[in-house]
Amino acid sequence: MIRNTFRLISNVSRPTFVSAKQSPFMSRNYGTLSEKEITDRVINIISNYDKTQGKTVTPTTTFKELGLDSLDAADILVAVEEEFGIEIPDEDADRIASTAETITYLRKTPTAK
Amino acid sequence: MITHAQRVVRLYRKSIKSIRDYSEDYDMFLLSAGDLRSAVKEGAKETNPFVVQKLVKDLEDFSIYWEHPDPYIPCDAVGGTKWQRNTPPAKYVVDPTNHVLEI
Repeated sequence: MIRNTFRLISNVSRPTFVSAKQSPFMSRNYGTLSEKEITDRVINIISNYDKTQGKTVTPTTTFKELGLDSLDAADILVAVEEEFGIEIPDEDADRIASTAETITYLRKTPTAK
Repeated sequence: MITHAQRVVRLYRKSIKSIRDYSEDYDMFLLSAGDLRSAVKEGAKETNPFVVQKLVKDLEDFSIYWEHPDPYIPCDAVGGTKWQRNTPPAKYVVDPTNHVLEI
């Protein structure tokens, strides 16, 4: 009986500690927005702005072509910030002057939702 | 060193965000933002440098006066609720094998 018990216990497979594959641990679902989705949403924001009513907005148009000045660009960027739940620093906001640049910035921002 | 236009746009952005923080709904925000916008637009026609300086000072004072004490911050941005939460730990904390302590 004792022998059987000992055999039972010794036959229990012990857990083997294998070091996990080296992967970027705690990876988050950052940057999951596709380029098409970003483009659609940005174009939707810009075409809904009251000064661009009746103008066709494409991913390549600049704000100047749409007749927007720097203050309009600031308005649009605030709307983009609200839409994507991010905060664009002033240094980056100064450089953005077209739809394409807005899309590129959002592609580079992992926290855009 | 930033240009005059950059300075005005930055102050404008800051003021617009403060207006957004104080507005209880979107209509109120649009009204106040439109007022600010038309005021800034009028000042853009000014050519006298001394008056321009005064207008910029006024805008700066406006943005400081209406700075919200508890502004809306996106969760991932600096100061947001998710900012620096659950930062990835150092590698030796997760996998201490072959780690040599530096003494």
